[in-house]
Amino acid sequence: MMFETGHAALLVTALSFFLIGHLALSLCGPKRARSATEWTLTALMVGAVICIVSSIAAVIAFGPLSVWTGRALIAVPALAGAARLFLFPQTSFSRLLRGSGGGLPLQQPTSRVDRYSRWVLFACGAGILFTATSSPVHLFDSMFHFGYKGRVMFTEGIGGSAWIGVDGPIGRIMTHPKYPPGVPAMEVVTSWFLGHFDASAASGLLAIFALAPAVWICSALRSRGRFVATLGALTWLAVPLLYYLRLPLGLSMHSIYGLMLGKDASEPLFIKLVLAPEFAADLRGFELRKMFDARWNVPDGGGLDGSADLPLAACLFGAVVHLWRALPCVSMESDRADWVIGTLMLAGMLLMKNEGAAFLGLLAFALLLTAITTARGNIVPTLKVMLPRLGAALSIAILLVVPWFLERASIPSVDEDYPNQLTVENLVAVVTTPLDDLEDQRLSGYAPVIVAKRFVSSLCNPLKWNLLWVTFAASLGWCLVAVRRRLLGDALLPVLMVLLGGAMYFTILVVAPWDHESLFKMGIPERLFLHLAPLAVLATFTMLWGDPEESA
Amino acid sequence: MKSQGPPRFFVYLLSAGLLMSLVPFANVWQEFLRWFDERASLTEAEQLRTYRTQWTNSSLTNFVDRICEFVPEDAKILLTPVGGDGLLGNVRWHVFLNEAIYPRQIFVRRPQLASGTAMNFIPWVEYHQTLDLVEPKGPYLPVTPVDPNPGRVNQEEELVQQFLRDQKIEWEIRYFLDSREPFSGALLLKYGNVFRVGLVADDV
Repeated sequence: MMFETGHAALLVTALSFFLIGHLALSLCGPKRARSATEWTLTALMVGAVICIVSSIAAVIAFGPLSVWTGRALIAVPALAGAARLFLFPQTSFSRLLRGSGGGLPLQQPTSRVDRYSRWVLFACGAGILFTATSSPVHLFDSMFHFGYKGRVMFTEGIGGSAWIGVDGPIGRIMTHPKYPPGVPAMEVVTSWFLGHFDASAASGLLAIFALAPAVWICSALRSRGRFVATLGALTWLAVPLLYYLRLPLGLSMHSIYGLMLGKDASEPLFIKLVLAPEFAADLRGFELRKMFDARWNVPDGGGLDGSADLPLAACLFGAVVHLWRALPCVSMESDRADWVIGTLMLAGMLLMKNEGAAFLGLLAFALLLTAITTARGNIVPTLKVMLPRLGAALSIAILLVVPWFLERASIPSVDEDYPNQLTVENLVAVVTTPLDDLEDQRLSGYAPVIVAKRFVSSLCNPLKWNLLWVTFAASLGWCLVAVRRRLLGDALLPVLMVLLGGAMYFTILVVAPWDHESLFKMGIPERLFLHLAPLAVLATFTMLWGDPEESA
Repeated sequence: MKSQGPPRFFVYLLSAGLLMSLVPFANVWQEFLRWFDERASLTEAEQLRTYRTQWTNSSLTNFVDRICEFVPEDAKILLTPVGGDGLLGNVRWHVFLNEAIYPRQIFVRRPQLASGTAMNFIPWVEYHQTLDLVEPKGPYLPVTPVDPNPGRVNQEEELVQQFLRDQKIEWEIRYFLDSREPFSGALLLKYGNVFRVGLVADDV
């Protein structure tokens, strides 16, 4: 396991992603200064999306590709990227390596705090890389929703009996056949270099989707100061849900309270101690050793487990942060490369999960709303600039994924089909009819109340989110006191996206045909809020530190 | 160019958040130690066996090994659950088997239920309980319906039998829904030959 052929295939794939991404970015004529770290991770993301888009289109057009055809499909543009990198020393990356790029905290630490934060960032990056590469794909979603699709795509292609034969009196089995094949395509690309299919060979690539948002946060916050940028990146990389869904020690906050109180506790300990000091007597039975003797369980998932939640989060964030830079109201530098990156990330988002399509609509709406709200009387000129850019970005992104959408149309729907659940009748029914769960009183009552309570208890759980959502909520409350000064600037778009995304997930969960207990057991809503987490970091920091021009 | 900072309360809140980030990093460190001690020298397949998931259950993996021994890679197999207590665990062994023995293609009746979520699992099993499976004697698998709506099931089963003939599906696995020992008493059938997988192979 120390170094298997899978790891070699992983490295070759990552190098190919970088070279293809480098080629694409350098051809865009980037003007804005980017650090080497930002350039590298952005190139990796861009290369990943280009490879995913092209491999899906090729497999749909020509059927399953032979290993050598697949390798050629990736290697030819990668070699062009290598030629661009080494034969044209004036390309951006070479300049950046010589230190002429913009500054990440990693590059030019000036104070002791900067130096320490540099090491902490390195440690976080190492932790992410280790978590992504050390475990083979072994969880349900990653194996059966994504790994199996990759296996079929590698062997039979897309759209054959395995995909469309899941209907009728007899046929084949595929869970969620309408899930987009973005992650499976990444596994297929890695497997082409490996020579046979292995979903685990690609799992290390997920580190890109955790690290890229960190450097984009850093870059977006850089004008607010080096410390703010570093703190933003660390806040994202310290989100526990990147590493595990539940604390692998086998203890949840609930069980810790239960352990401490010697009974099933439904309220946090400090509340009990304040409201009913007699509970303190129960603490006598508390044995600290029990907490540390508990077996350290196998990781049960999180962002880096091989499913598509983290890639969707990274692509969504990449699209928002690069299209956001182009807004007239935002105090950021921008260039044509940002627009290209934003467009490609939109396409990547559509190929990661079905939620990507919903986010495409939300992002278009939020961008227009932000432009109009912050235009300050210049609505028509603003829209004249915005609409063509936005329209082109959306159109190109959709065009890139047309092959998949055409194929998807012939695949029968065998799962929840949430969009069809969003009917007026269903919404009226959930608001007027209480649910009755005899086994668990917490799941009895009106669905909106049950889901809202679950949202609050999940988002406030520091073992899942640290204090990310608490800080976001507090910052939003602080900004609402002076909306015009604190919110109508850089912060508006990320805040809108978080609120709209949260509202979308709330509405969907309220009308979900599942019983809520089953949903909550499967990591809902945590896995959904992971999509919004990097946006929440950016929103929080732009709210708290305001626009640079204001105090300049 | 730098902006004004937030009130001190938020600095404390962010600092507390950073302090709490020690929990995930302690977890990564613990995972690293565990990997170094236990998993670093294992192959991927050996590592997978150390995870106590349902799909790495030894009963399942032994069965998969036996199937791969008997059934060629290009075979198409009909999978039929025939009762048992498996509804209790709500464990979708058919999904795990489908992935584990690929590229052998598994076919099932009512695939939309078999492919659906855990909510669809019980109706899928219940549908099979309406079928009266008889001992196989011919090249294909006769099924007698006992559904309260026999006309519909008859019609559907005719389509199934037609499909089996058209697709030349020669293999069938019949298994009990045992929540602990999946496939322990499973039968592997081909053209009327019955192999008791994991035990001995006999002719009917």
